[in-house]
Amino acid sequence: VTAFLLATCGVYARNEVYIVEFHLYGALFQTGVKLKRLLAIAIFGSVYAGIAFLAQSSNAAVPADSVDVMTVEPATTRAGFLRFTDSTLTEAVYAPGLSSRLTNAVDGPTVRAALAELLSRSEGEWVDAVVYTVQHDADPAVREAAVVGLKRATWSAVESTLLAAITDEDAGVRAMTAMTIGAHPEGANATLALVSSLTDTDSDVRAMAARSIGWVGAVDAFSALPALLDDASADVRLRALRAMRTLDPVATSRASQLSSLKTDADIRVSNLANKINE
Amino acid sequence: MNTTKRILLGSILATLVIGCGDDTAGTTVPEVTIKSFLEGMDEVVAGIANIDDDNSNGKEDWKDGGDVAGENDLVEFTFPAQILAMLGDGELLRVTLVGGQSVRAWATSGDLMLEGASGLTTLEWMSGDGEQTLHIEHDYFLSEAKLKLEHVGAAGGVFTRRNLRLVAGPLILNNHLMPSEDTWVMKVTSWGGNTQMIDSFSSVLGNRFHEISQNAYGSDVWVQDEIEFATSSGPNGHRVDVVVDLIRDRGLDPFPENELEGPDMAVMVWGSGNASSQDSGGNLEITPPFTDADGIEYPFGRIYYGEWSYGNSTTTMHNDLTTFMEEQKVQDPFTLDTSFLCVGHVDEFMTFVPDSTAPRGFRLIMSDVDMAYEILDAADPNISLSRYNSGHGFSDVGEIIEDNALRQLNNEIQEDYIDTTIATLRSTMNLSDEEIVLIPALFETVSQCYDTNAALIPGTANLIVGHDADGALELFIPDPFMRTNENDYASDLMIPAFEAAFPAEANLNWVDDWDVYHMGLGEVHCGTNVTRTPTTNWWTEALHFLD
Repeated sequence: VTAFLLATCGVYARNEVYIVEFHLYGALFQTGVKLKRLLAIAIFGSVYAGIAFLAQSSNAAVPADSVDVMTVEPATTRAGFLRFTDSTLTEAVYAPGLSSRLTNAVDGPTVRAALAELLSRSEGEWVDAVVYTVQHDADPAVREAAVVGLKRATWSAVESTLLAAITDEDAGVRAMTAMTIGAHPEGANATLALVSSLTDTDSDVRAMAARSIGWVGAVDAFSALPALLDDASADVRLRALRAMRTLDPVATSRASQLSSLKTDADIRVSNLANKINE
Repeated sequence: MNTTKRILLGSILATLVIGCGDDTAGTTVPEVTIKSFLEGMDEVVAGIANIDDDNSNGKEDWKDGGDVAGENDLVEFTFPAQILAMLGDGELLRVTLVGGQSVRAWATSGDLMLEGASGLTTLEWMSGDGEQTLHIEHDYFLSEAKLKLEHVGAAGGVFTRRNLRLVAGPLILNNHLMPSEDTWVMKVTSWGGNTQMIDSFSSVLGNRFHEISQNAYGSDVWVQDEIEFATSSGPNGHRVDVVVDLIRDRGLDPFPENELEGPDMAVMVWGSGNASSQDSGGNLEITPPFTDADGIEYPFGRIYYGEWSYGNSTTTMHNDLTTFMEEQKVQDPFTLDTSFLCVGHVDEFMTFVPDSTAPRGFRLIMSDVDMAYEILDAADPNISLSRYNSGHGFSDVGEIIEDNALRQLNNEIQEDYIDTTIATLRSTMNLSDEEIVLIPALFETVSQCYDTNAALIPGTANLIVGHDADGALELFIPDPFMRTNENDYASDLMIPAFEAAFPAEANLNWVDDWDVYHMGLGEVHCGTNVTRTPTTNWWTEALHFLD
């Protein structure tokens, strides 16, 4: 038995971006196989590369003042992290190139995070690339940035990704996922996941989950919130109390912890508790 | 020595003339006349810190150690010949410098006359010495020494004594009621460019507007954040401008040294090490002058800056700077909670603008979420918003108002932070309802910045207060772009509310800061910096802080 490998290479340009694709084909055959089988494999590879090239070239027309999406650099925001601020980059025509740049991890994590943010504002097809990033990017900061953008995607396209990301090994990703679920118009579908996150070991995750339960109007989850009013984290207490007020103001005004929260060390908590009691 | 400062003693000399005529015993009583002269002197001899580099030798002038050529920061203190002529035989006027480690005095000839560190602490002037002039020099803000003036009799007894305070001016950060002078913005060609913004400033301010090179300073567009302008002033209109060079130290770090430092403009740094976002000029602002509820007058306003709280920790400006600002006494700093903001600067959601029709000459401009929703809820939801589509993913008004999470987020911001800030400012500044003007604002959570936020509608409070060459009030305001046709300002949903909010005397200049600044989490104010003219004398208006 002999192993055989065939590699094909396709080079094409789009938007002044040169893309190189490699395809590797393997075959396992016995000695004595005729040459025409090898030729068939080679032809198959070449056709595949050609189709890939044509598919890429058939996208929407590229503007005359097009941007080289593979090299365009983000700006440094006032906060210090990177962001693509040029509005033209959100045009649909740039989405494939930007998606490729993101998923192929051409850049370092700070640029990938900026790419994920940019794509979530794109008028083109971007969801697959950002979903892929949430699922596969090695850097948690990139996954964290990417997951926030999923609030703009359809629920069916991101549900499984969000439900997985809320159990991500990184607490920041879990917190941002909980927040994204709350910001999504159909986030109520993930109420159970949010309730589970109320007991997360990380206070940021608990806070975001509590807030999102209020945001999505998950009345059935109300009973899970009062326990968080005793949380050591002021953010958790604040978000839980506000969610309770949103879901059931009357029941909230009767919460046993309310009197102590009126004098909470955190002014936001004490202000809110006093308002509820008014 | 080329000095410029002179303490006016006209009123004192007038007293002297009257005193000379009071000779009831038929003989002159010189100690009484000298006494009246001494007692008539102002207790505080105001000076300024000699921290600039007037002779451009690369050294702070105080450190020149006698090289005072071209110097213009010494206060001239003159003792008239007529007074000295009244000294009797063997009598003298003894001048003693007490506590003068940071204050010294030069003769007009350039000779060092008084300096505590050198042991030169006493001068003695006698009748016939003629007019005596001392040129007082201070090494730092609020440096102080005592100048003891004694009329000493021939037998060594002291007839009369007068203690004066030699005080250098505090460093005073500029507020928006001070007329603007020069304005700087970086001209940018990247990221969509800022041509309209540059043109707007340039056309209104003319040659008092200056472009900063993008290439020279690493495309760091945040001119407000790298530096804060301040002044230290003395008698006769003299002043030293000070660039408070913040430790942020991004691309613009060398800008003040390269472009601003020189005679009458010093660059100074407080703090070192890693900077947080809070260590930025946009997070360092000053209220207009006011009197608080307890009757305490703040003729230079008060400094305010943001704090970013997370859990049990608080991040704010570097302790060296906040301590220094507290030590300056006259602008007693206070903090505001900016934890809801990704950038975390106070200029992102509030400011003060001059308004001659306001009770105290200014109004607080404060972001208000409820007002924004009132406007949007009443608008046609089908109004398309191209800028918001590309920048924030909202293609029309309907998408904004129907975003339940966005509405709840903004309600939280209003309740937890904006209302709290207003309450703080009311109590701190004794603000009345009439002095508070609300403007529509919405915020959204920013990716890569945890759950913190930035302006969704360009932060209109994040504006520049300027004055044209004729002194007219010019406001440079971020264009909200809440309209379909970008060229049709009249159709904008937000602009009418802003026009009603801002003072009628102001010219409103709508600035397109969208790509470079707004999408970079800042606005017009963040990308601009301004020098201003001091209009108040600390030595007459703020001595109650210096006693």
